[in-house]
Amino acid sequence: MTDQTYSPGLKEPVFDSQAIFRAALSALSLPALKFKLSADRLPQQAPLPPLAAGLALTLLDFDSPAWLSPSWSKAAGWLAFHNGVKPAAPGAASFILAAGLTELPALEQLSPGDERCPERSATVIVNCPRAENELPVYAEGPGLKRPRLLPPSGLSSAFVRFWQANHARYPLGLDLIALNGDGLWALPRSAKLSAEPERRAV
Amino acid sequence: MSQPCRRQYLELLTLASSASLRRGLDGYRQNLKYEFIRPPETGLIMVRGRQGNTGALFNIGEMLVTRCAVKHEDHIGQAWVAGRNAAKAELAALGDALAQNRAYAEALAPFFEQLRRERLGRINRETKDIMTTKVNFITMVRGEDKND
Amino acid sequence: MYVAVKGGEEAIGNAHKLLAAQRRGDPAVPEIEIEQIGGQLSRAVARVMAEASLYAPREAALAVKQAQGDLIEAVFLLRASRAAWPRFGYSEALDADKMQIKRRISGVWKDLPGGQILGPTFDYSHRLLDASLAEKKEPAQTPTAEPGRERTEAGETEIVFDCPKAMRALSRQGLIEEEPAVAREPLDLTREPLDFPAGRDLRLQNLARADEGFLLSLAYSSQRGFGSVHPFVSELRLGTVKVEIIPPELGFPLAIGEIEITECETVNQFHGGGALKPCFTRGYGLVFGCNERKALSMAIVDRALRAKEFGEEIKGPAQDEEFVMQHSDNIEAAGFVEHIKLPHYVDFQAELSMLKSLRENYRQGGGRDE
Repeated sequence: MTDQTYSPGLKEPVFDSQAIFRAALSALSLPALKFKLSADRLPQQAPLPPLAAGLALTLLDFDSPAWLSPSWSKAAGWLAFHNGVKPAAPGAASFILAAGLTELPALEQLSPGDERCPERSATVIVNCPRAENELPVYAEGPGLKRPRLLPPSGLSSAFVRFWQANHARYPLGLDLIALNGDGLWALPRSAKLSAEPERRAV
Repeated sequence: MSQPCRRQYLELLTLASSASLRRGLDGYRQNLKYEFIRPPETGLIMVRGRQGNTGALFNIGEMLVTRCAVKHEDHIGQAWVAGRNAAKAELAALGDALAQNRAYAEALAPFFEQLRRERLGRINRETKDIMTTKVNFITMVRGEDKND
Repeated sequence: MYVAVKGGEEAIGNAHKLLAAQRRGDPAVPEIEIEQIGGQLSRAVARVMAEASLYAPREAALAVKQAQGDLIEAVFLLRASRAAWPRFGYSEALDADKMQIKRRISGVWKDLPGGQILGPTFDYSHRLLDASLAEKKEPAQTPTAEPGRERTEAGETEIVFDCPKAMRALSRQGLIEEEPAVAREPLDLTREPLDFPAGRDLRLQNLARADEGFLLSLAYSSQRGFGSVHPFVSELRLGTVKVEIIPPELGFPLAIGEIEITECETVNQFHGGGALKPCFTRGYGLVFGCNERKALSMAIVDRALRAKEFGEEIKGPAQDEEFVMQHSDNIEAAGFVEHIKLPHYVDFQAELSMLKSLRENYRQGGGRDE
């Protein structure tokens, strides 16, 4: 246990987690659109960056084993203390928490759920600070009237290829929440990625 | 403080009545500065048993509990108490934090001794009552056994 | 078919007011308090906790008050509030061997270690209405409480009376099937959809929260011949046990409270023969609170449901796990039975017009009205 095991969680557990949940829900409903969260809703002394810490306390519990990427593994005790979160190998994890795109495990080995319970797939929460994407990437699908350009976050063409395959196995598949500075955006499995928007794009 | 010892007084705090904790700890609660690491939170623990008491596990049902963690100086105090009882959880967590602190441990020793005695008194009283209902069988000698 | 119908808001509001007034009753009579229900109607509270599958005496007492003593309604209230609380985790397994005993009897051993301890029981009462209870009187005294005697003698050590499980005698001699601990995580029917065939872990969880009346009738049916379980009671025990958890950050077991439970172990017909060494088989009942009728019924039904495991012929409903497990929950049952009182205006119109057209066909075919 590190000293930070016992650092405080959410200040107002009910209201803060509601606000954070609302942001995550909105982000998954309106793919690739960033939703901001005010800092006073988020744990500031946690062993994770405030946004990741708040999201983890809101979404994870003892029923959702999590894999933490190397730079964040020191938060395991803190997550166990507050929410009873158990550590898991990537393939068995309900949540993947990664400090950056380079720290992600191979996405192919994560659980996409099964036909009977597709909701039991893994959700990837990854820190994506502002960085140039290799190429402009557009998301389309439910929640998007027209293709939307993904926020610049350093996504590679390999990621786009993976996501195309991920989308193709719908209703199975991963969902992704990207933490981007003071807010978050998301890609649900229903979102399709393409390097250039189709004709109807404006 | 060693773990077995902490385990014992954590149990005393958990199993004590709210009134006993108030009597011993409310003064500290009012006068000391401490922060919540985890404010009192009510939730559920699924209680487990074993098939035939020794076999494979099964889930019996849930139990309502309140947990709390506080930080006083450098000490983290924790509590898990039965029921929806934020005030008791807070006092018990503070009691745990103080008991780990050399500056308070000695002053609190009589309080813990009192909790121990209260619990012992209650158990012994109940045991004595229950023991009065133990059956003493009187075997009746029956006539037809004469020829055996 | 369900069609939303609006209206009746004012009537509903007034119905709630009327219900609240009815619950309160005659205002000249003092209002009943939660502590009175918890202390003086403790068996009702125990039943509500067992069937709600939530050990929360204060909230269960409140539910009994709010439901005006309708215990199934009280179970419903407690189940509904349970849904709003987060789950923190699982306890370590209870150990009824370490119970602080309030009652323990055995139907198979007269002289067993620890003895027969009757505790607070209705068993030997004459079931005569006690008119004196209708009067206010002094609190009843416990057996050791003599008037004037100092009641708070603490003593230095705990009075221990050793009451090992009655089953030990049989298990030491290998005459009862073994019940070895296995490390497998049990399934939880509040988390997983019910699937058949169900394991004994799920069956016991289902029975522990089952409607007492339903279990009692099933157990009775099995004893009478719809099934074949008519066991001996190795032991029935009532008392309190500590509940412990291991918080991940502490890493050692921590007591979080004490709960009252009733446990029943039964000895049942032989299993084995041929190549298998014959031995008695077990039935197990464990319920929240003081509730031995339910613990006994549970042990009988648990054993009845093991019919397949022992290759026994299924002769009665108590042995049929789908029948038992899908009909044991009184909240599900009440919901489905009671929903028929709700508006079915459109369905009924359809049935009515169908009947009218059948009547028309009947008339045209030469049939006549009476």
